[in-house]
Amino acid sequence: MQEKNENLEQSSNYNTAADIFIKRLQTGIITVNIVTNDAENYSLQKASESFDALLKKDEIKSLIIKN
Amino acid sequence: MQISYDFLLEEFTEEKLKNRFIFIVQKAELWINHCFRQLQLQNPENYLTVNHDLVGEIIVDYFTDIYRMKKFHPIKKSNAIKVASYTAYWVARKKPIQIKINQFSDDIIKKSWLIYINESFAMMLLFAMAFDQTKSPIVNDLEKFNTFSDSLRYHLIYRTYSQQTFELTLMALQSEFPYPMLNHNNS
Repeated sequence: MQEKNENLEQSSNYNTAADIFIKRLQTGIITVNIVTNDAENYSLQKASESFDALLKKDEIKSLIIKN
Repeated sequence: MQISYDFLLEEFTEEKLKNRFIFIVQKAELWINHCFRQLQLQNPENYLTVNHDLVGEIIVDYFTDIYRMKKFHPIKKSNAIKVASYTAYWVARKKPIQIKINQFSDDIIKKSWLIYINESFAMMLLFAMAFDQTKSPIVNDLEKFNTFSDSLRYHLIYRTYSQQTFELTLMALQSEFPYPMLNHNNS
């Protein structure tokens, strides 16, 4: 294991690349892309009314009865 | 090793978790009764039950997902698409509606999707929690929706899905692609 670490340290190219990577992390050059997600106050009451309304609709018949 | 989920109470409040639990149980019972009415069957309580332990598992996994997401992404509150997707996903995975009998009749198997009632319940939640079903349809032709609905059920029964694929599905339903599909029948 120790030998392996020494080999890693001897490789200056890798060290330089790793330093650049760490610097980019520190300076905020590397960022993560996130999808937007607008915060909202989700209303369970509205969801409940919506569910009850959906029960009355014809289009959900195919969820129960086979064609 | 086991970890306690009591942090959810602190993060989301007892009231919120309780309300969500009651919501799932009530809507599952409503869905069972509705299916039985549609199929002209009686005494659903003899055939199906909503397992409260599994509903508890749904609530824990749902809010843990939201907790992790909020820790990683700069999100204060979930939007409707996330709420619907994550709820429907865990319902489809945990299957809180349990069948109490060994076999339904030939007629029920032949004519209905009753043995896949958890999948249809998950779809109901997906459609009702993201879209306002108290409003009239905004398109007249519901044929495409029915085709989609059939495909989604197939997907839930036979394919691999995730919270994120549900999210993408809802986002696709919400968006309107600016161009028509390629028509291969006419030049």
